[in-house]
Amino acid sequence: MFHRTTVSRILKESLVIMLVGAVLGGFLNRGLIRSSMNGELLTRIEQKQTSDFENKVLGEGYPGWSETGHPVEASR
Amino acid sequence: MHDSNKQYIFLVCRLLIGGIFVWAGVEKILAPFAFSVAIYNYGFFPGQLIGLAAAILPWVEAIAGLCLLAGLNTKGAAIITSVLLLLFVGLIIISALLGLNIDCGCFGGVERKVGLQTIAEDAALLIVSVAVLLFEKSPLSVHVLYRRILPGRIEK
Repeated sequence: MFHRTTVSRILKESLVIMLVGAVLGGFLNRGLIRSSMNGELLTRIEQKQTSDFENKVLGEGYPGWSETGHPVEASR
Repeated sequence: MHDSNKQYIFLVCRLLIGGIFVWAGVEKILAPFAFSVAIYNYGFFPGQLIGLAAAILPWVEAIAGLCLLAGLNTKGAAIITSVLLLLFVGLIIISALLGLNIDCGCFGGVERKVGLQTIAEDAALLIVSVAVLLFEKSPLSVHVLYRRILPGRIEK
């Protein structure tokens, strides 16, 4: 369907787009990449998952779990 | 159908895919953490690469979308959108088969659960994107305008 030189031109075009995206995204989100590399991002995501789960199961604004592992009642 | 009518249809397809990718890219750029969570939920990516994917992918999407809207490097951008959509469809199908009840992460923080509806929508977009890649030759593009202004500068 496409001529060989056309295919090569199209691939070059897509490479340019990916390169520009990688440079821009990498530069503007360098903090995110750094925190991902040292495991900080993963910890934050896991913390969020836990708090989301608690909110979903126990209700919005629930203070969480006691030291003994029992859910703590929200003060009214 | 007349050839110019077909080209109008492909022009609309190009603008549709471009608009959707710009929207999806910008949503993710504005909420990088929410997109990182969405990538994490799939469970296919190593922890250290989540940030890299969340940083780069939205920009590639947004730039490819802008290129499609403007008609600049149209075919190159259409290849990227097609490959990305193929990847998304594959990921969503695997997640649905594994019974994961997660957000697809298609539009950053916007809630959209994986399932038959998301698979159908992304598959339809994939077909449109491939059609743009194979058949779109609309004269309404920056590339063609540039060629008209400076003939001989861009080989066909």
